[in-house]
Amino acid sequence: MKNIICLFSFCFLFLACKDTTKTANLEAEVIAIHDEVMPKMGDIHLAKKNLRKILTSTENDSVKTQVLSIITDLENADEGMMEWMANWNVPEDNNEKINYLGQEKINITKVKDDMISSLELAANFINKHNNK
Amino acid sequence: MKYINTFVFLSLLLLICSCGQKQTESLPILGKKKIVEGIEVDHQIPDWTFLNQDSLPVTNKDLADVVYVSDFFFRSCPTICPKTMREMKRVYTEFKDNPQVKLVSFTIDPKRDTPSKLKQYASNLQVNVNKWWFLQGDKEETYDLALDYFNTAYEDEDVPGGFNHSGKLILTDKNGHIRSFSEGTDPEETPKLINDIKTLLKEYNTNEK
Repeated sequence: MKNIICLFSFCFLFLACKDTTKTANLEAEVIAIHDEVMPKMGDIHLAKKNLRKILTSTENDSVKTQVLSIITDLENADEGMMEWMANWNVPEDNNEKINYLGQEKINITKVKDDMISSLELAANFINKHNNK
Repeated sequence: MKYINTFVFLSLLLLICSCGQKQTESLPILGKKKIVEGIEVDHQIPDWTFLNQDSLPVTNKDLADVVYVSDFFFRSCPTICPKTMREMKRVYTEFKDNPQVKLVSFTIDPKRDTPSKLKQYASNLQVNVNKWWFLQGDKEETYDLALDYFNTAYEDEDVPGGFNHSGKLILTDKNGHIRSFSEGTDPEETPKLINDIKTLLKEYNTNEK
């Protein structure tokens, strides 16, 4: 009987340990995605500044509309990151934690994609405009 | 022979005197110099006005009689800011009773970090807001200012956005010149910054004598 209790306790401990490692790894993955794109917040700021220069120097309405649309994309991407960070709140409970981190990995990946795609869009537009 | 003895004696005396006179250390003025009307001038932080934690406007001119350490942060920052704030607090503790030193933290999330939220943040940190200011202003202006501080400290205008340098603690003198900086995420760099603040204060105290 004692042996069975010991075996069950051991199994329980082993599984609990495995879960904790899994959540710790998942949390590190989520934070790594955040850390990778966070320095790009400065790039967004600079891209917006360059786009505003184009906006004040052109009379072309079509260019103005495109610039304003790209600035909005950059601002939405920036706000997406700030909002994600403001909402970041890892629950204490281990089961809740796994679900939460799984969802946050999806959310921060979207934030990353939005930041990169809006920056690419801005860079392409600025290059094209300046090389005209 | 008599002359040689006198010469040796005088040389020794000169040596002892010069050893006794400790050279006053001086920190460099960082940043690229500009040519204004044909004259080379040191880099200076541009004028700024922000709201403090009590919603009162403050400017860089209000810091003209002190040296200050600044950083850029936001309350919800999950990784870098908690570390840099710990180091800012170390600087705060070291110079808590010295009226010649202040600390200034600029939020880069003015939407969420309102003055009242910043006041609460300062209260949680258990710091005196007359000594350590928490400032909020226009986001674009704050980013411009941050880039000026970071890029000047690192003389690295080629880094796009300059935010690779975020998390830095930057020491500014009474004339708005950046004199030193440290990596706020590395606790081992803080003692050097503290030492540099003391060196800068000594520079002022020696000049005022």
